Amino acid sequence: MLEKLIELITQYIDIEPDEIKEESRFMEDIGFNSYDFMCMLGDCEDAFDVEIDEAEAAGNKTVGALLAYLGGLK
Amino acid sequence: MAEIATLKELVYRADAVFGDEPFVREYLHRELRDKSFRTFRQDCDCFAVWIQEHFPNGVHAAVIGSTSYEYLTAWFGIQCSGNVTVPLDNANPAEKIADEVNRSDSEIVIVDKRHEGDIEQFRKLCPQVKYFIHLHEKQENMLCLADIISEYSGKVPDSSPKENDLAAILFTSGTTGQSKGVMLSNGNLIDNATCEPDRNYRGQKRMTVLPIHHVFCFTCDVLCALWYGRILCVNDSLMRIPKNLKIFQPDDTTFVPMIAASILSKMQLAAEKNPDKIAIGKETFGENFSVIYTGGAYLSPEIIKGYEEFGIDIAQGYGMTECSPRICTGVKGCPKPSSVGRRVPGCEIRIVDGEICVKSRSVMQGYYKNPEETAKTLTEDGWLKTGDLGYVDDDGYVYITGRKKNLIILSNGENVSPEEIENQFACCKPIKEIVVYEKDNLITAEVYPNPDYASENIEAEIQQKIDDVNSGSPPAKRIAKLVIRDTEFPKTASKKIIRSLL
Repeated sequence: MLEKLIELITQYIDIEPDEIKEESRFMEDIGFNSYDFMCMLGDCEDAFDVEIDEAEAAGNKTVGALLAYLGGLK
Repeated sequence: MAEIATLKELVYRADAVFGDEPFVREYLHRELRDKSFRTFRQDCDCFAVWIQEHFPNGVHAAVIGSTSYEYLTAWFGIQCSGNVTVPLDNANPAEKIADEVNRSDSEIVIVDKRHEGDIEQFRKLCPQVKYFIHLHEKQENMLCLADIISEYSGKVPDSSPKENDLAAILFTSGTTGQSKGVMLSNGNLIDNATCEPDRNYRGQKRMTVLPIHHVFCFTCDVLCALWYGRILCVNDSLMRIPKNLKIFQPDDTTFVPMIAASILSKMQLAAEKNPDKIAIGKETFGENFSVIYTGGAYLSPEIIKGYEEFGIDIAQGYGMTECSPRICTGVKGCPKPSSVGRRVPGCEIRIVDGEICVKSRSVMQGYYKNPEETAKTLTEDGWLKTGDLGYVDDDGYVYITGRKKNLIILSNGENVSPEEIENQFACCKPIKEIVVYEKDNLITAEVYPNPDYASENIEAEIQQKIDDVNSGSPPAKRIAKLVIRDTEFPKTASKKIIRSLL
């Protein structure tokens, strides 16, 4: 799952995949703005075959937290 | 000129002309759902009859939700009953919504999931409200729109609203003081929706993205879809814009510049791996796509040029809630990308002391229960003072240079528009946000650097950019001092920087 999420992230941010860790924060460490982060969440719906609640998902500030949230939806 | 005068007539005409053709298209639980113009008129009628039965002397009804077929049914059901819709900002906290419910004298409150948990608070804060209605679900403590529609199925209201009757009260957030309720009549909204020639839009798909309580979205997406017979494709969440573009394959859409800029930078990132930019443009926006319309904030020519490389046109317009909203519209391939296009038909523009003033049938009736602000904004002979500074060139293109209230007047008498300076930094990557103001008689730029921008010395790069811009500017418009801040600027709910707090 982590690899898939990293692949999605690199479609938005010009960052080397190995710089992205589970503890990386989307805004501060990876460099997302709020709109791009929302769009990336939309991509997660297809990539992980889940239906995401916008307000709930946006509360996940790190890669690890989002993975746990997505895992819980399955 | 349109052969109709009211929003009720607009709904009825759409049924008569377009009938079973699709009006609203939504992607719900991974399936497309269409609702036709006919079904829409029928559902609006059902809700209208319920309103007439419960409020025979008229009512104001607040609608708070994101765009959906049900939201639109509530909005226009109120119109078909000859009453007043008060669309409020769904993103506001409950206290602020309650305040606007009270100040608009609303006696019905209609909500969706986002504020369903606030109903008991609304009951306490808004004692005049008689009915609460949920747009989508059955709940113990309120009515459900679907139940009302099925109970009143087949009934037809006997209302006959008139052109000059108040149709809607829309609150403008404003960057200072309390929000003001803009009163738009049936005639105002109809004029604005129907003022431009039909370019054979029938059956074309418009994806609607912006918040529905904004009149830019409401008029240009919803009213125009009803008038031209277009399919309104509902983008249900900001996070699904890229996906919904692929699902709906729209012909065009309306964005604010921030969304346009974000999508452009994603396409530019993709272009680093795949040089076929036209293919990337088609992959992102779909095969049918022709043009993005923007409004609400400044769109830099660099963004327009950037989109051109991907084969996408982007046209900038200009308007304000007080004018229903369109004053100017851009066109595909606008020859003057720094303009906001030309005035819409039927709209007169004159410049008074640098301020753009507008007269047209779209201009509001005034601010609700606020004669002082109305008198400041509308002249006795019907001109709307926009508060924007600008000019019209010899070919009729309109240019905005800034807001009158933000104008800097230096001690040497020079007038400087801060926005005119700020806009020159719109595509400067090291700068996330910039605000220009006067301090100690010096033009000062306060900058929040872009946290995504990797640099050894970002402050020096910003100073270099300022020096570059200064060298191309007249002495009175040069930035004399740079202040770096480490947090974003304070903003209103609609993400506009609150200058008065600086």
